[in-house]
Amino acid sequence: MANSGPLSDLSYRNYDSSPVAKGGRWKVIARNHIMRMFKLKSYWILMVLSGIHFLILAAATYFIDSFAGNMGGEKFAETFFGRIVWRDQFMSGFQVGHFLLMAILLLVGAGAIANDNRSNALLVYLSKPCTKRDYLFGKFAGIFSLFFTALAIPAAFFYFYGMMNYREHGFISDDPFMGVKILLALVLVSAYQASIILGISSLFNQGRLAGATYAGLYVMSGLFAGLPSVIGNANDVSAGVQQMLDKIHYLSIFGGCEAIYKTVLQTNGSFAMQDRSSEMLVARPEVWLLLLVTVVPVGLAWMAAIRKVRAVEVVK
Amino acid sequence: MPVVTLDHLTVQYGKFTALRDFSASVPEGCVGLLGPNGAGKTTLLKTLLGFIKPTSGSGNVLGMQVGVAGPEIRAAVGYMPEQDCHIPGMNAVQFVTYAGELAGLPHNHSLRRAHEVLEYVGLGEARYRQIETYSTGMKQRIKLAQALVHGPQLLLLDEPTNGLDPKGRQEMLALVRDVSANKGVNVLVCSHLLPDIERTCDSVVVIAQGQMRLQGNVATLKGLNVTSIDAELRETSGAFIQKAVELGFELVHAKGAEYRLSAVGSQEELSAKVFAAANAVGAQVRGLKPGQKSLEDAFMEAIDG
Repeated sequence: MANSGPLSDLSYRNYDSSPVAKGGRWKVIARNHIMRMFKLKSYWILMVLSGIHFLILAAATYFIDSFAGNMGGEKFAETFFGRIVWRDQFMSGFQVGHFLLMAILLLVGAGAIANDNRSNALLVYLSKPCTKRDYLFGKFAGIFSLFFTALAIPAAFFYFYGMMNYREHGFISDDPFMGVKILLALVLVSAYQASIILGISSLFNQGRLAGATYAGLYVMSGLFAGLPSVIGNANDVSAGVQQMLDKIHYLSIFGGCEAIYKTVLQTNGSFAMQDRSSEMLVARPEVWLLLLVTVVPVGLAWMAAIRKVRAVEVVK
Repeated sequence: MPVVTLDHLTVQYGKFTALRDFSASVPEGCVGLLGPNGAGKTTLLKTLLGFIKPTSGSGNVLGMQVGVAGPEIRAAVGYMPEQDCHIPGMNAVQFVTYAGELAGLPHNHSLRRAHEVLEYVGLGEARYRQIETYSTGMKQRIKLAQALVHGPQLLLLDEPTNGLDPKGRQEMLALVRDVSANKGVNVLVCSHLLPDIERTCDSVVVIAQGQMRLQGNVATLKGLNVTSIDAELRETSGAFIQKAVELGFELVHAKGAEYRLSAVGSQEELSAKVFAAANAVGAQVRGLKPGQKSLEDAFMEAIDG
């Protein structure tokens, strides 16, 4: 059939080279997903923008440390470095950039399965020696890795910057395990968000629809969970009511991420630049609440994905 | 040695029985799986690949048990689905390379194979174009390429000429024939188009309403029937028929002055008897040939039960 070219023999022959590898197809799927997304400029731009808190904080700490003393602001510098809780800044970084991080998640995850559904790609995947488990785990690993990278690069930048410059201000000594805790929090938050977008993506035939659904869920659940807490703070409610309202604070996708950060970092958060009342902060959740807002949505998302991903139509 | 054997295989979707007590043996070479729409052809292919678990019965593909050794079977088999299918955002080289890697080939081998296979299926010039921009014919070819990339021992082709124009169809059938005849790959072609099967396959399995109706060599099924003969006379002759029946013939059908007669004996003996009958009644024989039914006749007989 083929024309043998003068430069090389391109005619078809049977494959008789090295033995076909067994297992590990999920790695092929994950690598392919990661490499394709790494080529998108928007991914890198969004990552830089989402880490803006760390850039501003790095600049602020540099100027305060370098110039405040010379300009008669020794007291301010002393107060600033005395008040700052370094580990909380990593959670604040997520809180400030969370909408851009959501955009990154939509970019890398919304179409992961939905676009495959649209183009019948599952028939290609599952007709190879690749199981449904390989497919789902490969897609999950791809989304997880991309989102983790987007979270970790800005955080790592600030961590190493702080470690090199602010050790005398307690960057390491305040919490010697801060690095490990941050790493664990980023892993858990990435896994949580990647699982949810994977489940939603599996329900649709178009990445855009899956993305719109995730964004809608993210924003609406955030509004639902955030309003009672604001109302409570504004209306001087009793402590019992405030505690209940604080629990509602975590009933959103963003709340789930915040719950993970607070639990892993063992903090309620703090404000670096302003002396604001700790009453403004929502206490970290109890274990049952943490499990409710993280394990339940993750479980539902995986159930949806497992149920929806199949190579044959269901005839009822 | 058969490449696929099925033993009383039954497949149900809920209460609907798609395959019922299906037994067949698919020999090496190019075999057609022929049946009308909704007969259960695609269900059979998906069962062989392990997408669907049989409700009862058993089967073997290349010596591996259906429903148990799914990944092992799929490593040795290439599947070209009926529907359009591709991975979005890729050109042909990327897609076929990725398909090879999914099948277990190392990346560099897969890339080399992708170029070879794309050249072979006639997409050499278009290999760096996005698949979304391909015509229907090119999409059929890319599906064949992704099925071939890992060098399967058995190719399962589901309606390979679907949506193709006559030229594209001829080219696709020539490819299928070439893969089977010259590359040593066993092929199971699933189609409802008789001419496609007739052109490409050595043997055929006829399926209707989820049941195996007929199986055998295409030439045999087409009925190069040595016990029947087509005789064409100058004009209709009742006396000729009467004499032929006296000589042991049975009239199969008559169409004007053309008669299909059958009898026990070789083709030469039957020819001699026809001339003897014509000579006896003074009829003039203008044509004589072995009685041959089309594959369509065999197919219609089979699906009519």
